[in-house]
Amino acid sequence: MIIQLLIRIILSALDLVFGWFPDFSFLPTLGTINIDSYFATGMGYLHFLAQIFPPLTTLQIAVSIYLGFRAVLLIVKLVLGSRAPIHQ
Amino acid sequence: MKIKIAILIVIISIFSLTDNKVFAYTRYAGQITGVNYLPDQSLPFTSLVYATSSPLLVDPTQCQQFPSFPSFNIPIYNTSGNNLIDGSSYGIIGTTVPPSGVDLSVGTWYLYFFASHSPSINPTLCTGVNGFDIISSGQVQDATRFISLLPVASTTVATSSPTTIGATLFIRDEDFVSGMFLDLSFSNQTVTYAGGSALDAFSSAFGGNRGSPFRFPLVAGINTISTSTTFTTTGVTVGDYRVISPSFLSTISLGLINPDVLIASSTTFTVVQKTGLDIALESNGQNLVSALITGTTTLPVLQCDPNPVTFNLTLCLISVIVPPSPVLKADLEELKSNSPFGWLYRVVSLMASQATSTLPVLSYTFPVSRGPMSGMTIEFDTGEYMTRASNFVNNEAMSDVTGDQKSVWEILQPIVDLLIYLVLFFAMFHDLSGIKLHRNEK
Repeated sequence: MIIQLLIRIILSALDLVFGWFPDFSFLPTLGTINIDSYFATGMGYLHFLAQIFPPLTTLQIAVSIYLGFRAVLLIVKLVLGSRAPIHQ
Repeated sequence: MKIKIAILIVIISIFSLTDNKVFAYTRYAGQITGVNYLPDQSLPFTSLVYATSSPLLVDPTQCQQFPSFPSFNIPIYNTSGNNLIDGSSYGIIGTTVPPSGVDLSVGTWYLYFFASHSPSINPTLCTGVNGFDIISSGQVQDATRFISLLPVASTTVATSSPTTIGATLFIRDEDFVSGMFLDLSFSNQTVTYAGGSALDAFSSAFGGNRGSPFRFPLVAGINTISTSTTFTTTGVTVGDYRVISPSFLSTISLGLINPDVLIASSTTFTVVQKTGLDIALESNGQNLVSALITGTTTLPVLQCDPNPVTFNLTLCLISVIVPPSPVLKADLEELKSNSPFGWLYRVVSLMASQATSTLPVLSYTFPVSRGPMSGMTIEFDTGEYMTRASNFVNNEAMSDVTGDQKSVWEILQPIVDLLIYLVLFFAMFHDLSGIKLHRNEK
């Protein structure tokens, strides 16, 4: 209940700003370039190569961990400001 | 600027918490092998296809993208009667639409499965799919038999939540008699007897006596039956499932003559005591996350029972902190398709997907009237080159220190993984400590 309340406050604010935007389920097509299809096929290639080249999977996990870590750092900096124990 | 970035990070974090089987495309497909049907029979278009294992046994390394979206499909149902198995939809697809029926003994057929709302992209096909059974309700494919039992054998159920019991079974027209019913009884190997102790309305309506609390009327064809009960006695429990044909003798014998049992089967499972917290946190918290996002577990919405006798402080505290999953999911659903979140969500979905694409074949056609190769086409199939058995990375050409024959990657991968994680560690350490080179130290 408590967490839901916090999340709904955030979502309500976002919905207020972005709610009137059109819905999109797929990436756009620019002229004859179907970005969604290209991206889906590209990710398929990447997953295919990851089956053959196992370090790609490890690399993907490591990048995900690092992006999450950076996100946590940004949030801590945002909340604590100059009091954050992070030297960047 | 920081606020914008932080808001974006929060949104990405929320999306990253989601189970990719809910939002992302997870589609595989397969040429049917091992299908249990009579080859000289034609299945009607509405034939039911039941999975006999969940998830279906698919070899994802044998997949390639289907050239076009299928023009028809036959859904594959799980034992609960819906076509969602392990979070994905399953079905048989074909490239032609027969007007009235499908003969599965002719031609090539494919099995595909995808996430709940992703049928607009061509499915991926795989060879070597097993673990399902095609049953036509109008035709005799096999003998009268149980297709599956609930609870599944060797599983664990908890005393703190209702357990779904039931069965999926097929009864031939020739075997069916009016008044036939399914009899479920449970016995515990730890104590003398433990039945479904908290009978629900269904068992009250159809319940019997003498240790057979569950009786379900049956019809000819496929029967999918389930209800819930709460087991209170822990330990190894055996469920006896019997299809009983009522006979005149058993009716007038006042129970002295056993009824005619057409078929019988049993399932053995373990009943354990679990608290709500155990259920929420088991599997490293996956159930908790699943409950937050999908509402697929039995995590309570609000379980602060005002009755002081049945009040459970743990469940109450959890339900106060944990958001009601259906409401939260609806909130996310409302927002996720709005621009630009729809695009962001789509990118995350595609990145989280495990679908593969076959690498393109490189080809070149020499110009006509230009030397001895004129008009000829040469091709280089990179996918075939990299995946064939004798390629470099899979070839068993090296030995490790113990003398075991291993491929190159089997030997090198631990080292490569270690290096990658070391780089990750130092990058994070650098960010935390702020240690960096001064300009005059370059």
